[in-house]
Amino acid sequence: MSHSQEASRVSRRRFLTLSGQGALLVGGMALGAGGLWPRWALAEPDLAAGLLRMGRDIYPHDAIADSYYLTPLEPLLESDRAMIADGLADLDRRAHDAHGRRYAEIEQETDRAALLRKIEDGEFFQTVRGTLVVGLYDNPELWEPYFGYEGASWRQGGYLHRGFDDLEIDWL
Amino acid sequence: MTTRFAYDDDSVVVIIGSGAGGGTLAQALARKGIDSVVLEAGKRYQMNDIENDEWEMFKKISWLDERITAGPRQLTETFPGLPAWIVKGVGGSTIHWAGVSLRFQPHEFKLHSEIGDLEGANLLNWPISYEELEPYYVKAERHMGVTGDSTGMPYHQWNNNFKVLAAGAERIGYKQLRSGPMAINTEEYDERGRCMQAGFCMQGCRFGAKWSTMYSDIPRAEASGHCEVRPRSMALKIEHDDQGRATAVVYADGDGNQHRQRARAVCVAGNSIESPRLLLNSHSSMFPDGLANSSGQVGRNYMTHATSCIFGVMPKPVHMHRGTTFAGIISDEARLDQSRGFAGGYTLEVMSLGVPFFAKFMDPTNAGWGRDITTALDKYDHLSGVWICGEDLPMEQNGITLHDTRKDQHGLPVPVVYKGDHPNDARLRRHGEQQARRCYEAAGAERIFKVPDFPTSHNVGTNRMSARPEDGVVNRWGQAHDIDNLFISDGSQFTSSGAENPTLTIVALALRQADHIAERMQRQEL
Repeated sequence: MSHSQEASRVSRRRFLTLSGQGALLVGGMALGAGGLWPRWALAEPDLAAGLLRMGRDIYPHDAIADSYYLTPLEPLLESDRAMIADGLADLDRRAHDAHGRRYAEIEQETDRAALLRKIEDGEFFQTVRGTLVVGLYDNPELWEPYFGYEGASWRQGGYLHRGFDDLEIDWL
Repeated sequence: MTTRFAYDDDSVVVIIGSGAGGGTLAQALARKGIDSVVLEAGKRYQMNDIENDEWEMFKKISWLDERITAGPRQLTETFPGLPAWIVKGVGGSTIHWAGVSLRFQPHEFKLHSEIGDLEGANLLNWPISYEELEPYYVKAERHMGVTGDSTGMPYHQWNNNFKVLAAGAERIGYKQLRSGPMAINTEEYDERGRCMQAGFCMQGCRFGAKWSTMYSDIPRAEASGHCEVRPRSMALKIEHDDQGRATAVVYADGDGNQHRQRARAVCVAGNSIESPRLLLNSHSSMFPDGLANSSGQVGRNYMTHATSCIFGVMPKPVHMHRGTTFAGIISDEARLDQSRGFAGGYTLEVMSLGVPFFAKFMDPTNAGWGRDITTALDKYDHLSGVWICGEDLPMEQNGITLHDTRKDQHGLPVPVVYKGDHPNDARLRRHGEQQARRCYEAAGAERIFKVPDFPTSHNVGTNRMSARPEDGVVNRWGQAHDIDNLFISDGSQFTSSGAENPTLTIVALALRQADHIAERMQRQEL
């Protein structure tokens, strides 16, 4: 086993623990299939874990796998590395003060969300959120399976023969 | 073959903008054999540039030059650099518009007479009546292909989204429920195909079923030999002679080179932000406050419609994204009835957003994250949405001004777009929100929520029509009170906003203005 494979297994275990969604992770993303971790995640698992935890707390969808959060957030660590590192360090300080542990290690989502509420007006939080609101929801892979949104239709001749008026209102 | 006119050809009408006003005017003039040069700031797009993709189209066609959102409104916080959601491209905002083609109601042309003075509102009657505009509404409806009596085209079949809204609306007693009039073909019309219920109306209609000057008026005007469209041509200044007549338009081409196009007449149709901005930027020693501004009303009375947006989570999947985005209109509240606590009325219009835009717009404030947001998104396919389009009263302080120091890529001062609510607007909005909620409650919604204002697509009023020169910028023909051969040809000439989407009225006014210009030319007056 090479060093990077070793690192990827370690990191992966970390993520599985942190996100508490091991089963979904294994099924839902390419982690297992060849250890396709982003390079920065390999190098800086704490930053990666913090950013992932934060992304999942900002837009929590329990059924969506980590990779869909990580992929859009990854470039931030190169484009805005200082802001992200400082922001996460600040968040960890606040977490220590309130809960005696790092932000990503706080168990209750409501506790983590309360910490994020306090920094939501800051540039760091809004940068992560602004990146994710496009990166997560503009991903066609998620549209139909998770949201029931079928997206582009013109190649199929629109929805004229594909259910634009198929609703029966039978609940009233 | 492409017609080209020389820069020093002073026989041409120069039209600034190629959307609902400018594009319509160019073709209407061309049909009469009148030559025009259309200066369009944006690029030219082809049908295969139109994709069913919200973000891609937003980035591709939107007007994203620097602008500053100002005023006591949420948009100042949520979209500080994007006050308006309009298009920069050949075809202008007719690429993006939703197709709703309601006429203004007769009383809306004389709201001031109907309700009298209202503190804080700069109310004024239009100098034209509904009866005068009515024949042009019919012409506009035939021109654009509006479903209903003028064309004989049937209204759209009701889509799922409207079925839900209508079920609730009927239960609370609403009667005026229609899936039109829409300028979206329900059968082949004017060499364009029928609506395929594709959704994505606001990203441009890939099928060309929705009227747009991009593929209707502009290509025909060009084919006539009487019109040259110059894309990527940003008008910088309108020049005049020492008689105070407009003589030329200076503009920057796509490479930043400046040109001067001489003109017999100048028609400004750059939408309600750029049109007054151009007049203000064209100040001279003769007109130190900007062109056509002796009234001081250029850039003022900016109206956007009093709007709000309500969504309901329904018990079963609705798939609101399927089908024509806005094909469902409820007009019961459009009447004038001050017993409701406000003047003016509003229409309720069904609307949908895709997942990318719904996620972005559901709550764009800093606090718009967390389970409140994601539990709604998890029910995306169960959502139904309605948009409130209400009369927005003119206020003198709402308007477009030039920033003191900030300059755009052409060296022009950046526009500051200031807007606040009149108390009447706020009351109308609250009433509309309440009624929309009642509709969804009656339709069995499990959860109902409000989505804050989007950057505005309905921008009107900043060069308004008036009978008297001291009250407004242009007369009953859209001709500047101060400058004989200068016209305003877009929604900025609106004296009031009405409770209806503006495009049909812009087109009717442009067709009427074309007749007027032709007559005056024939009489050698222009």
